Amino acid sequence: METGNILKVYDEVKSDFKFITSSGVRKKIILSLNESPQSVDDLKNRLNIKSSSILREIKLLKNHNIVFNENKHYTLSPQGRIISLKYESMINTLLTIKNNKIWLNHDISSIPSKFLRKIDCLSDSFIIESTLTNIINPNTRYKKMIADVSEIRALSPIYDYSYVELYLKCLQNNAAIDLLVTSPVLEKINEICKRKEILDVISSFKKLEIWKTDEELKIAFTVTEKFFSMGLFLEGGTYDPTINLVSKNEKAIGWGTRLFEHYLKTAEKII
Amino acid sequence: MDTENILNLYDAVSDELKFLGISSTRTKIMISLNEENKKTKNLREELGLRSSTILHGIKELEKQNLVFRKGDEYLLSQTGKIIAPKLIDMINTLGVIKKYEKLWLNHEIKDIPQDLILQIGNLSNSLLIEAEPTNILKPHRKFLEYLSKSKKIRALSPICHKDFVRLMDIMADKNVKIDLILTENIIDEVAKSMDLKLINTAIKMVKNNKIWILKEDASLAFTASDIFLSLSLFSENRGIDPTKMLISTDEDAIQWGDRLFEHYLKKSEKFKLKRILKDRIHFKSKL
Repeated sequence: METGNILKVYDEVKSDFKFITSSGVRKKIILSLNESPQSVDDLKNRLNIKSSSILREIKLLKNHNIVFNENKHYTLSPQGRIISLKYESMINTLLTIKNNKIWLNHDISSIPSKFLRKIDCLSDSFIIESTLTNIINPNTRYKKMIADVSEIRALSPIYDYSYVELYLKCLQNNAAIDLLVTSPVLEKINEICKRKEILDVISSFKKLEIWKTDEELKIAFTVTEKFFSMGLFLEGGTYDPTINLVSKNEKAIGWGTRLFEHYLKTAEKII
Repeated sequence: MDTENILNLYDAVSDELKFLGISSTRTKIMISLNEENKKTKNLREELGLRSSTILHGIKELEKQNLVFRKGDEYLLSQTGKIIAPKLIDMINTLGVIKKYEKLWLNHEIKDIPQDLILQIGNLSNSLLIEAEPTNILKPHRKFLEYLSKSKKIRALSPICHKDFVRLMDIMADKNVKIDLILTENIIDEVAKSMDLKLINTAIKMVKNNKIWILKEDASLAFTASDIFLSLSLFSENRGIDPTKMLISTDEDAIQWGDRLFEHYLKKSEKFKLKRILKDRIHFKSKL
């Protein structure tokens, strides 16, 4: 939608927007009622807010058709239900950003906007950073996590020999690996595959598939059945190995899987 | 997510949420910068606000790391780029709630899956067709009008209407591609109606098209054709409300309908002709 149109819609709903974002009590009531209908007493106990404040807000919410009551129990109207789901998604987006400073000065241009809109899927994630005593901490932790998974899908515009060793070990542990890489990384892989001991492992385990993409990727990530892990480039254009975002949450794994499939669509299968 | 959890999460970001909602200047600046980088002059002209107001808003947005300055232009930070579309989405959603308030109020939305509720902003460019005292079938007529112009029809219906069946019959003859999800009770009704003409039409439809049976109840009816989306909801416990129908020819809305259809397709199974035939034989022998 054009900016002019959005601004027009905003002017029409400005007072509603302020109404639902300005009061903390209001937001808490909406979020609580999204789970189940509740009485004023239920709300009072759960939210630890005075009955008078709750009643005042309920009255306003009723006037806005967000809440209605059946007997003494308050329920969300369809409008209220829509708003509450939007809240949750907004809260999780804000949390994703707040908890993870990775977003601040890194390049996110490789994440398509439809994935950015669902970035709330990553709200339950954590950051692994280099420490003074372990400058390759993200890498160390990544190796530990990947040791006992059976399905690996990794996208990478970066190459390091230590990853070759790591993935070979995974193959030997019977993991299936889908690898999506850029041309320069593929060249490196081709070079390394000339070595007999490496080729032997690859050809005897047959669970490695490699794709090549011509896109310029500014993101490296791995998604397995157990975790999602992502590294980004600094805004200047260099990969930042000092920080990884990791999540073991189902939603984050789903998000990563879809992102991988997104890139797969334009990739070319090599083996 | 359980409520305790979401309330705790809310507490962690309540200030941020308030910050985003409370000032219309800031919201407007975010909306505008989401389009492209802009100078103060551009913002002033677009938003119709004074420079001092804009600069004040920008300063606060800079403090929150949402906006920064590059030369004489302002642009969204990485986090700003994540938040601005969310804000716009929230605004569109509120627009859809307000514009079609009568469609939602006292109606059932529990059978619209959560991820599509979250994308309800897609419906912002629609028309709410309402019955009028002098044209009580207006929604239904409008619907048939759009339906007759469609080349590809995907629809879910928990109700059976003879007009609809007749039209589908004509459409099938015109080689229109039809995918139809029906509920169990419609099939029963058609079979039990003993209306042989209706049953024959149904048999023809099953032969020429894809009919699916939904394995559960649905409290909505919708169509996602190549040219329009229609959506009707149950008014609380009283079945489909025939007096209101949302119709849209907007691409975003049609896509939304397609996804809704995919959602229900997963819960349906292909209808087998044997069933109607068996019922027909059964009734014939009764006759």
